[in-house]
Amino acid sequence: MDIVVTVKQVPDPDIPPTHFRVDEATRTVIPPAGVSPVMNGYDAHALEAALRLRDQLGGKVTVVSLGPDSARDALKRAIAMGADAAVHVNDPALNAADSTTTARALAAAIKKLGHVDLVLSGRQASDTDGGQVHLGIATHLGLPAVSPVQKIDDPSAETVVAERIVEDGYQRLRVRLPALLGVSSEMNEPRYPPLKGIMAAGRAQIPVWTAADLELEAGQPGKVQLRRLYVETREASVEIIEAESPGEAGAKLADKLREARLV
Amino acid sequence: MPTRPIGWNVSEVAFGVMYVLVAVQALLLAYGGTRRYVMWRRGRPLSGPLDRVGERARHALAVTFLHRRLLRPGYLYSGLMHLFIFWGFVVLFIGTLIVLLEADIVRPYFGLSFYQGTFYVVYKLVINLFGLLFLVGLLMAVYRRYGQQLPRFRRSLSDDAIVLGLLLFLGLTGFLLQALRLAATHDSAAPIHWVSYPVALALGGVDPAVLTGAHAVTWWSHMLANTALLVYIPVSKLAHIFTGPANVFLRATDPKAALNTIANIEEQEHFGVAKLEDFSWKQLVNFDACMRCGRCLDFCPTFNTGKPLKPRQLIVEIGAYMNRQAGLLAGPAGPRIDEAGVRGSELTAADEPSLVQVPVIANLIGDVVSEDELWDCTTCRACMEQCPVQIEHVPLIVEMRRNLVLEQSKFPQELVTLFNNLERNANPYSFPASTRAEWAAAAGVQELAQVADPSSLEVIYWVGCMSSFDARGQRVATALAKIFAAAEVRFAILGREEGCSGDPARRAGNEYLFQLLAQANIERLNHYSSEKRIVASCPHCFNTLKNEYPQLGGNYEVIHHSQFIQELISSGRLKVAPGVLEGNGFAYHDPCYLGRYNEVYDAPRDVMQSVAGGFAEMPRCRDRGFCCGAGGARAFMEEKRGTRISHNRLNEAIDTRADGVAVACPFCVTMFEDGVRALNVEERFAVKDIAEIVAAALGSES
Amino acid sequence: MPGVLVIADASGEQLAATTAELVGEGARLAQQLGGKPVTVLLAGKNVQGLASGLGQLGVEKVLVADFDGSAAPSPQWSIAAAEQAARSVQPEVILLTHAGGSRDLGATLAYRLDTGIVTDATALRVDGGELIITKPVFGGSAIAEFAISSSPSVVTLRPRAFETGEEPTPHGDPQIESLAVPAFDAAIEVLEEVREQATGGPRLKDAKVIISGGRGLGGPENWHFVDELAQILGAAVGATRAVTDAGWVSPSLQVGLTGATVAPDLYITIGISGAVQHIAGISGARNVVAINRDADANIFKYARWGVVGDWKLIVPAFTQRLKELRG
Repeated sequence: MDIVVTVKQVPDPDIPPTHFRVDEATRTVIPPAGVSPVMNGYDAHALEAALRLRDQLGGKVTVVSLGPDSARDALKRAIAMGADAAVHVNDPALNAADSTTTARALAAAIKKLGHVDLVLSGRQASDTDGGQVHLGIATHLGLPAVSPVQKIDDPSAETVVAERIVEDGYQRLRVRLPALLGVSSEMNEPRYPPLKGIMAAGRAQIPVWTAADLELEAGQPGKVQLRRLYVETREASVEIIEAESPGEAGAKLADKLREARLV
Repeated sequence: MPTRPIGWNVSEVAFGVMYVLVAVQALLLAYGGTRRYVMWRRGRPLSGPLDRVGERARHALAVTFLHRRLLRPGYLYSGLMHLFIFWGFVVLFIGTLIVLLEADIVRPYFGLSFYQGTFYVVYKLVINLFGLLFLVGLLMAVYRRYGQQLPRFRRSLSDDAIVLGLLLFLGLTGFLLQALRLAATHDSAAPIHWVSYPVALALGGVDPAVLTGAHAVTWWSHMLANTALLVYIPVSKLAHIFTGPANVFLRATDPKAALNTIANIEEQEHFGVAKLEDFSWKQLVNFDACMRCGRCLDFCPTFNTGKPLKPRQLIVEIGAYMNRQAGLLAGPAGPRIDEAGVRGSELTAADEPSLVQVPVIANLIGDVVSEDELWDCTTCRACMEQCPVQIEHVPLIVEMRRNLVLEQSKFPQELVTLFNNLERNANPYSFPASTRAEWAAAAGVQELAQVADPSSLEVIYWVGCMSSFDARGQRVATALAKIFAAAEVRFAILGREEGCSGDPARRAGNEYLFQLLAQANIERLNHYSSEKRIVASCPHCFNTLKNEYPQLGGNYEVIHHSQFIQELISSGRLKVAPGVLEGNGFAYHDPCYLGRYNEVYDAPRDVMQSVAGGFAEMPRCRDRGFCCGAGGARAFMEEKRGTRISHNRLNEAIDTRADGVAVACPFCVTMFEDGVRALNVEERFAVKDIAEIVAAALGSES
Repeated sequence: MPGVLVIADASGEQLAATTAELVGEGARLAQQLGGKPVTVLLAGKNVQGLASGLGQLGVEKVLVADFDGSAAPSPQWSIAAAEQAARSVQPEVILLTHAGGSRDLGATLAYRLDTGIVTDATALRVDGGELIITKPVFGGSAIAEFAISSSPSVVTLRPRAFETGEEPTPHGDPQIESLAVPAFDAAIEVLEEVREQATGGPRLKDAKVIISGGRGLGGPENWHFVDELAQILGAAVGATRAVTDAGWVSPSLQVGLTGATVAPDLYITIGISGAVQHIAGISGARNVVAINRDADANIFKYARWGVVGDWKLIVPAFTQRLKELRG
């Protein structure tokens, strides 16, 4: 089975909220010193699912990422985990683009790879929390898509069975290949790369494609613009809720949470 | 002229048979030994020729003849027991050689004789003494194994009984032979054969013909028993006679506290041990040296809390497997090998041993040794400390862990979190590295990078991850900072330039990650100066920096904070009022990586004496200290099987009736703090690091 | 006709609670865009009867696409229905809820219409003729504002982040129009739907809201307070190692260094002191609430809100107020 996995490199999601900084002028994240970006968590689950399918059925796993030079590290990690090949789409015109452009570019890259039976993506990226690009890819490629998926069963040359998570439960769907699945973390635990894999990844040559290589029409503007990025100023220390009685404090707490749109 | 007729009542034919049998035994022994040697050599070759041969030989001789490793604190009875058996046998053997010398060499070829007169008298007095000691030792052993009901002798094998039985038989028949001859020949020198003499007197009235007949029978049975013994040696626990000293000779001479490194790790194709041949040939000798005494189990935290890992069983199983692979008999009465998998249950006496073919394709990890056993180990080294033949259980286990981690990527899920955190944040938690020195700002402690004149500093304080990030650990760091201030010790911390020492990664088998972490630290430390003394408040950091960083080019003078505090007190730099024991005081717990690993037992005790006026000593203390359960990266894994190691130790501390437990390691603090909560004694049983105790004794506000 | 198209979540043969929020926000937007109409699409199985319920919410026009297959409608059918509705209504804004199947439906729909989408919005406003969409990003550590330059703007709304609006003027009988769903190349077959949950509540690792209990609860007999709270908030339940070791709850609930690492938007702790092994498991939590009787407990260092006192007096009132707020 020839599988393509899309991965995105994102800022480390474990950065505690109190240490999270953004540059409002450039609308970018300033990670704390020494904190490197990582492969998006859900994408790691997608990669693991791909590797398991390949180990079971044979075939090839290719990883694709769109991003600046640093995205190379995510691709290397994927190779270390066992991916057979990787492609890096790296073009200033595309790297900071919006989701619609990203979806177009990744779809073009996957098309350029040739025959593919299955595309696996993480259900969403932990920076934008969007969950839309993979569905855009599917639409551009004309692939049936199911997302989010917690299990892949009964794979064959023509179909797979995917368990799609719905409100309180799941659906079992038989999907005709080629198809795209958005993978959720319930599916598996991503493997830790063996040392030989890490060494192989270090030596790997990863081709870089630009917008020209993908034959994308230049100058097509994105449809979604980021207008503002900011961090809500928060008190460094805890707000202790005072009230006449503990019960009142409890009720007040509920109101505070509702005010913050958390409940 | 006192002497005895050598070979009285023994025909030429009998002697002829005896010599033939001796020759056959010697050949068999040589053959068995050679096959065994060949089997060991299937292991990996060493990286260089064997080093320090002279020192090794001296050490092996001392261990063997002076019984240094048997006569340890707490083992007086069994130490003496074995001493008697050993020296009894050795002297009896030498005695036999002396007779052989007289009868087969000196007399026929030189026409001389020394086996008479004074020589003979002394000879007989001594040999009777040692023969008696031999028997006493054996009887002590019988009682030890079958009477004392020790946990490690719960399951004995036929092999154990056969060995004891044979030796006893030999000893007794030896004296009987002597007694029968004395009685039958009315030897005038009888009294010098003082052990047999009373028996000879008792037999005085018996018909000499009967005595002679009995003597012949006894002679043949003694000779046959001797043959049986020598033939039995290579296929029984008695092989340790040769393999034990061999193993002691071959043991690692590097600091005992260090695990070996993997050089050029990036170019290796294969990591750790997945099959027998991956062990070095020295390591393979380990498995043959074990004679199942079980001392490794006495203070083992996993054995004593009902977990799968039992060090003796691990060694014995691999040993039996190794012997099968080599086509050698593991011994008809030895450990049984299952048909289904090589791993059997614990050695059970109930199962009659049989020679069963082990499937040759059995995997070392999985079939012979389970992964659970490998991950259970806390690397406390209680097993290695007690092993009389210096088997190296911990490095063997870590080698197998290395294969699981670096090659198979197969290990407990919790370690994925640990490795990822170490990789990303240089600490085992998920806190960003940039927050490492936040505790210091509050305590007025400077980072080295901020110090204008680093040469003015006396020491670098290596804080460690637990004291940097954990609120409980930070209290210890703050206490130590207070102590430094009171003693006017100028110091700084690496702060944000400090990363995890790498200890948990290395113990868990992730040697690659360890090297990454270590190299980063070494680079920073060398940048500042490798001459400063480093004080570490965590024994794991202390051990790694001191004993293992040299492997990667980091050579530093590192001391533990208990040693430094002791220095400060004894030099008068730290003024503490002589401690008065308040209430019932503290029980002192020896951290494994400080005590057994680095033999620092006294410094913390001196400190406790100075500031607290004393402390309670637990029964399992010093080299027999019982682990808290956190070592070997176990602090980062779930403890799912058996009972809790930390509770076992904590109950021992509580039983001393002290008001709390004093420790010198942040891992121990964490395990015990969790423990007192789980046991619901947090109100009445305190857990304190000695730095906190000392800081409190300084009297200023906390 | 243009305006706002609301795609209601009508799976499971009932109207989801989020419909009221969608309609309310839709109506508000429609007003801001110049008094445009609001159309609601009901697509699913046996949805005919739900149309009148929409009337209660003040909806004037309803498009109904009834699925007549035996099993549940496949994602392809839902997108076909939605796309057909969008092409026929030609709205300026399309709203869906950011939950369940609507999440991926919205995204696929946007790409089919060759337009942009912003998901999980927490606020919408019209500013200088443009629709500005606010949403949390980086797991809630930062807030972003987006604008969509193409038409229609597709937005999925975070459940319970929007007011349902002023009392709507109920329309007795909304105008109901039947929508024919065009044929499509069926590549997805629904084999079965499994609705019951094996364990109540969402999976711990992905939950947006987690209620976590510690030793301070006193004993397993008090654990139901945690469960109730979790049920009301649709939250997952977590526990400290002390609690799982003591056997009060299953070890699968353990949150911490050796248990699950979680990064919810909201992490409510009851009776947890905050030892490092636990904190290490929640360093990604955006908002921590601490309820503990010890004002010095470590947990307060990591919390955004805290209440110091006896949880037995605090939690029932807290739970009650939440019940009221959520209706």
